Amino acid sequence: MVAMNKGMKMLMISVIMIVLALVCVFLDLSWVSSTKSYTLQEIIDTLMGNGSWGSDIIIKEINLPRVVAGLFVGAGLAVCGSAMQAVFRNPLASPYILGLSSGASLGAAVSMMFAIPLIPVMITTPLLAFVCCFATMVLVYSMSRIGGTVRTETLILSGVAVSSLLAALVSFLTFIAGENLEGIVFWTMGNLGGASWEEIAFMIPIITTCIVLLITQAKALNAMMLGDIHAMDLGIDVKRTRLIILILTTMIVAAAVSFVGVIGFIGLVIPHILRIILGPDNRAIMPMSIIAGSSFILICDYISHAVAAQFGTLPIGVVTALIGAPVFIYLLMKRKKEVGWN
Amino acid sequence: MTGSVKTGLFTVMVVAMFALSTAAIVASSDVSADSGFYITDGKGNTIHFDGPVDHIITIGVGVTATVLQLGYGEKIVVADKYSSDNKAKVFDQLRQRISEGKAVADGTIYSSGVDALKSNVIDAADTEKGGVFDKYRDVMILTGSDTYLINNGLLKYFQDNGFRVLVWNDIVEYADVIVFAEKMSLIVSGSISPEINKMRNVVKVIDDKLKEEKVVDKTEAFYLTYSGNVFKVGNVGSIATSMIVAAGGNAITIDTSRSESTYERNLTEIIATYGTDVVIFADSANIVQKPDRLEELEKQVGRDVKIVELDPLWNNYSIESMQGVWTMACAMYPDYFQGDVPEVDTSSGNDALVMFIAGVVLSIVTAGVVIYLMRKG
Repeated sequence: MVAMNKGMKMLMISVIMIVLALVCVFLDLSWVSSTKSYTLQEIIDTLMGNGSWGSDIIIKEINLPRVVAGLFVGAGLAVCGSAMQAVFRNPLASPYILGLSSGASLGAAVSMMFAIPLIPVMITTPLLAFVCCFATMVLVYSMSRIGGTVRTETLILSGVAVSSLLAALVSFLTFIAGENLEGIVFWTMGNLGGASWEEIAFMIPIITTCIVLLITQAKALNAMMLGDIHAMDLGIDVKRTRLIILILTTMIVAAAVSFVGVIGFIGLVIPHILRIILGPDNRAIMPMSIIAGSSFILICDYISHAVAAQFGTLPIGVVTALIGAPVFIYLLMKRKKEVGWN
Repeated sequence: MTGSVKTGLFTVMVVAMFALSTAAIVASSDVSADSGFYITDGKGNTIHFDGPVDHIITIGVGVTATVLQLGYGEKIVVADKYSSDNKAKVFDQLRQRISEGKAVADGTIYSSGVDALKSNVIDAADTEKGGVFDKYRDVMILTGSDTYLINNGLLKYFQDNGFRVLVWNDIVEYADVIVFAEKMSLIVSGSISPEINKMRNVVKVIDDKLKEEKVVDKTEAFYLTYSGNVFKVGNVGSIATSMIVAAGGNAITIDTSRSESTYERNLTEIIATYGTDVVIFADSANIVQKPDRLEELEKQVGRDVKIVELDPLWNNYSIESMQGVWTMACAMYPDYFQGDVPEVDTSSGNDALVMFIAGVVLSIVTAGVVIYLMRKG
């Protein structure tokens, strides 16, 4: 009875979240201008091939890539966040805790400032962002190895140190950027519209595969949340699991951030919210993070366009922070056990 | 009818036909015989217009301001966000049209706003969904750096979707601003607005007066802005610097060895070299309206130096730039120039018509006299 109720509860929550996600998808597809949105019927007609010349372009060429990118980036960052919080046993952990966002930002800034020979211009920014993101993870991991082992505390400290250094370099490049200033600054704020279909096609298999593999580690993550020693007692190879999680997380972050820039707070806030609803079990949190993360990012993207009349289209990273930060503050104000951490 | 009368009548007919055809040529405007015209943009692309456009898309503060100042703001259907956000009064009409739903201005050419820009433009041209912009007759004007228009593919995007697009991003001289405004006038009205003549006239008035007063030593001045945490002076490539020259000044910070349109220079050293009679034309938003920066500037140049506020619209592809030129002349030569921008002396134009009519009348009278005399003979 208890198991059925729990199962029914999960089913109900899943259905609600899927419906919410669909609403977010259609909402974000509908935006045309600050004074006009397409109706659901118009969206469906267009997707079915019966739209006008304009709606074809706006929905299929402008909005749809943004929505699809948002679905996968939101899902990836949310799942990464839940995994990182479990690995580091730290509710403040996010996908960027190891300085990955700073590394990607540095790669993007370098690509915008300097002509890189032999690399086609169209892929320079995402390629360098991807490579620098991955290189950052390797650097942080290498720095934190002590006697062949890697402890979470040293990982976090190394991540903070490397992140600070890379952020300083990005600041320097921003200062001397000249006419590239706008490009660098807006890249670091995130933009779902920055991804083309080709880039999305590259992103999807990486993010999907890594999310699936991360979810297979959910049981191990549950054990690691009890501490390394307890996890080892339960038969978990902590060192190997940690490395696997880091690699998978880095791949997701690199694939996402390279094309859409740095979008924060999704990986930080979504797992916390789900923990309140579902409890601390990562076997429930991680799959639900897919839908919740996607929905959240699409809602933020819609809001970033909806306020265009007042402020212009806001970078999505600004909106996720403006919404995510107050939510996070609220969660912090509650007692720890109420956020389902213990 | 005698042969002499026939000759006389023939003469009158020829004179009349010549007069009528000449009058037609004199009265015609810049439009060609088929009433269309060609406009070539800053990139060398040429578009033919059958006549003035019914609607226009203006991306860039300067071009939007120009169309509004020409009095054709009702033709703007899409503008950029920076135009609608600009606090200058000239943009009130645009904001009014946006509030009435007749125009939109959500996007920019920059990465954060380019999707919204594309949506606005495409929707404006989607006639099936109520769009009024005719891609085949109307035109889009894009201004901005090549990085965003060309390298990021924005121009190509609109051209590939069938839009007629004209691009300007290399206007650095006041004379070029006049040509740009003239072309905008043709596009939206089919004729050259009197405002354009006023833009030319202001330079002529200044030049004529300085020659009349035999001014040899031109007032020394320079343009000043603030970016990257430092004050920067104007160089070749800066519209404001060319306006100083057009206003009869000596732009002392022109350094042809440098390629940047503005560069950092020690302001105290400039004043020490040229003296406190130098006039500084300072950015309004970046310097004059910021008390800290203004104070810092006064520390560096001293309080005896004249600092004149430069309105942002003056330093742009805008008809308002003539106000900038005139303000500069008034600041540099207060004994010679005061008050509002001088109006164009239209008497010369009217004089030509009057003289022409007088000549035609005289010709007819002469022919009439000749015929009379021939008949009498």
